[in-house]
Amino acid sequence: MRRPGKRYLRLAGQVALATILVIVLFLNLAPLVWGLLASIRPREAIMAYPPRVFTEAMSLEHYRTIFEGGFLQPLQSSTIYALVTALGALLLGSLAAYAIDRLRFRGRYLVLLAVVSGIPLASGAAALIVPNYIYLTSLGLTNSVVTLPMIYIAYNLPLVTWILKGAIAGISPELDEAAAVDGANRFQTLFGVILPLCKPAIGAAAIFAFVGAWNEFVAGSVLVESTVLRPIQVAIYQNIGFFGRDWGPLLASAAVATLPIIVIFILFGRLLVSGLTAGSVKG
Amino acid sequence: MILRTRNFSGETLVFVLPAILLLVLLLYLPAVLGFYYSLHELEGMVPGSYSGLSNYQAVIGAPEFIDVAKRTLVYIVGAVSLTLVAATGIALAVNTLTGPLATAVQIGVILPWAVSSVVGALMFRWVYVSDIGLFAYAIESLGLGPYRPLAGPVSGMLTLIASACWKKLGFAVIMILAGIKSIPADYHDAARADGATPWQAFREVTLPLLAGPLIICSVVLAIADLNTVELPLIVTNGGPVESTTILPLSIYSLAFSQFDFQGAITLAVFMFAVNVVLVASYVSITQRRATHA
Amino acid sequence: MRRRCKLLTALALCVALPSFAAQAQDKTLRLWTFLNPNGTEARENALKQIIAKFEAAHPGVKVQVEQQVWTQMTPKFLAAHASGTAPDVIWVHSEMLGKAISGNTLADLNKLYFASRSDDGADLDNVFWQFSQKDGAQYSVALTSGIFGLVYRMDLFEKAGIKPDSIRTWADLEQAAAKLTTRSTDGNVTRWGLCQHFGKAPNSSAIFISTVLSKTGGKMFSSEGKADWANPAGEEGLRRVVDLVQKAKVSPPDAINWTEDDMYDQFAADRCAMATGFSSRVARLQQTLGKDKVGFMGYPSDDPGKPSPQIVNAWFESVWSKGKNTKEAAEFVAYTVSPEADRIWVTVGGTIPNRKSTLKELQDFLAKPENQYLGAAAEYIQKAGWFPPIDADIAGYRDFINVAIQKVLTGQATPKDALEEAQSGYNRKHGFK
Repeated sequence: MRRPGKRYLRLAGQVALATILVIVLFLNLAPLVWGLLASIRPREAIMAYPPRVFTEAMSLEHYRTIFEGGFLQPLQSSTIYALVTALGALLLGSLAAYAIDRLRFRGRYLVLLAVVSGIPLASGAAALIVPNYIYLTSLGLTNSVVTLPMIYIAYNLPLVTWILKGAIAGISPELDEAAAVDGANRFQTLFGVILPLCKPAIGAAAIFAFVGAWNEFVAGSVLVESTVLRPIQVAIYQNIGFFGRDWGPLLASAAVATLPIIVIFILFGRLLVSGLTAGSVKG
Repeated sequence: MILRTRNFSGETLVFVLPAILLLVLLLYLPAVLGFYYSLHELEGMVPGSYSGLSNYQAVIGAPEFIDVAKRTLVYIVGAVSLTLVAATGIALAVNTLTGPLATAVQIGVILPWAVSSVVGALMFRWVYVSDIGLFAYAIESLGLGPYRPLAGPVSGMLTLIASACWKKLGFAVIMILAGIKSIPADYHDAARADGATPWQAFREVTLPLLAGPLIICSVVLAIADLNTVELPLIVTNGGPVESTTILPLSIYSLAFSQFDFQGAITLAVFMFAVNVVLVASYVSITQRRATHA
Repeated sequence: MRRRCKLLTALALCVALPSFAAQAQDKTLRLWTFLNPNGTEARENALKQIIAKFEAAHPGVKVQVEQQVWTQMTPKFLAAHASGTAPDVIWVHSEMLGKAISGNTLADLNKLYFASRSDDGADLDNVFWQFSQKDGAQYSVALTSGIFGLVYRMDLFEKAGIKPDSIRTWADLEQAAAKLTTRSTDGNVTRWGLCQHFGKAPNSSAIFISTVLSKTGGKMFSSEGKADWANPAGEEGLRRVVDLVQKAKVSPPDAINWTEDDMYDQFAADRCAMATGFSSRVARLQQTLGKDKVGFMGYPSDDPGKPSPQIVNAWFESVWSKGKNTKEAAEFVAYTVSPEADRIWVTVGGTIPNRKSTLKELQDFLAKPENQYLGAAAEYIQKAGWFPPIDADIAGYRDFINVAIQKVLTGQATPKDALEEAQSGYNRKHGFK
């Protein structure tokens, strides 16, 4: 029984929904779009009041400035760091996740707690960086090529493991048994059978690890010294120097730093939701 | 039937050891070291004489501490609630979309989370808080009166909560959307077929099944909010008159404004302990749900 | 045959030996600063040129800059000293210089360099030079120095017919600010006469400090660093700050939430005619507003023509005491304040000259309107520059003062109570009863 008004109601509902979403997106993205617009304005026009969204004055001088100042280097360094972090975290995380879910061993619960407790530690206080610095220096682990990748893998491992565990838990153990019957050992089962079925979760975990390594600042500024090893967030931050905020280069470098993230989201974004649906989110 | 192995077989070790080793060496040992630091008097950045819990007494016993703790609680409860409600609404809306449009909206929602945190906070302040910013200009041009989000403690805290919501919204939407998508569509349709209104179907069917993801999301958000410095530092600068000075900002000020690394490390260790409590509660809740499910 | 072998060997040695020798002498000095020598900012250019000239004059010595984040640099240096990995040359933050010296982390530059060159002392002697002296040792040279004062719009002053040197007392300042405050038709202020900033961090109200220092003869702290501002001088300072906002209405009330960076943004957005700023910020403001539009002047006092004392600041370039190349490091440090380098710092970097001789030599350069601020700041430093006692750990006092100002502005406390609360809070924190 279709009432004639129902169609209009549905249409009105959809329009309302669309409007709400547009408003939400607008409010959400306004600061970022404003930053982008300001980054292509000449210095004199950035701080103009009243603020005008569209101006004729446009300039790429800030982008030129940052690349002349050597912005390409931290861009490259961070790309390497983030990729290594994603791969390393995935490797160690899938091993640990498999063990926690499939292998019955004493202390399994403790290991799970230990891993998941790492999540807050990783986002933890910058103040702990002083003992961290002294401790790592005594181990000779500061200012080397492996410093930041190691730290970043450690920081992102908890979340990656947690996501992968959820995905693995959603795969029937019968597959394990079938593989065992076929003569596969545990490694072959994990990498040959289980993980290929977890592609969305792997994608989601990889994205989180990549973004986590890309956006990290504190360790990157304290634990390395040489210019070659500096990550991108530190390079951006240098525009908030002792002599004040230099909005132009600051916004330009932040915009450039956001590009790879946007690319990754466009390419793999749909994996985020499906990767988390696999079961981890249910707990 | 889960395949069983002997306790602590060599195989288990190989699987678990690399991860545990890395976490212990690079996450837990430094935290333990931080704890060690907090039990001593710092002399030139290194621990000197043993001082027991007196640093904790100094930091927690300081008159400001109770206020800071209260504000932090208000902030976390407010920010998490707002983010959850908004994210659930948006997730439900996005759920009705499909294909590239859905992906585009998801990306649009999550972008603030993906942007460098310091720059993001600066932009939020510039657009939404500054009196020469876009939002202030728009409000005043429309004649809706002077726009002073940091005029008083209440509006200041609301501004801070809004910024936290802005930053974390996308992440929460993704998690809740994942939860929604893992609920079989038949449940909802069955309820509607039985004559329930959309709101009733949501309340009776969807919401209970979303409880898991919502709980997880709130714990993750709470931990993130507890540890974020840039938002209170840059968006409100702890003001007006310290009404938005929350725990992570206190730690930062101690370290880099007052050069009191002793106090900063002590407070940071304390905060880490609070974090662990939050996480442990999350783990126990999810473990219990898993065994009951 | 044998003769040819001998000849060849001798030739080979002749070629190889110098390069061996050069390698043996090749020393690398690690330098921690917040400047990026490959950057495009004026001071970064200056540093690059100075390093190049030093390396050219000292073959075999290379200077390797490791750019740091300025807020972390000094704490990190102290931690690195403990780990034995500190750099050869470090720029120390003025507020931590006392700690750095008492922790034996810095080398005595007199022993390493200056003692053998007696002619430099008088030319370099100023409040910064003295600040880094202790018990006969010279620990640092000061770079990128500056002083807090009034940043002002020279063009707006001209338009309003105000001559900068007519501001000789606090009353003159308020009058000028009133003249420069412009309002729109509905009564809203479009440009404030005198912008301040009261947000908590990192610098506090210069007007308050100037008042207290001038009324108490420079005594805001005891020599150990105990605070002493809850007195009539402090109340007068606090009242002056608040009255500019609430009574004279020439200063924005929004400033209660402004950091100094926010205030500079407002100034750059043409919303302030004057601002309580720092001298080294003028150059960048000029880049936005126009080279001949931004100037600098000191704070007046109640005594006409006599400026109020005010806090100076600089970065203190020092040599690590445990470094392996302390001699070469000291040579580099000394070179950065040599007459040649000092000229580069001023003409290329836009910083205040360290040497009196530079001030004289560059008179024409400093007479240009866009360089007015350099001469004005140098003069203000000489006349009224003030440093807290070096052994005093006064870190964090600014937070307490700013909160006190905020409380009075929002009516939460009277000046007397706010100052007492700030003083006791600060003293308690630093272990004074």
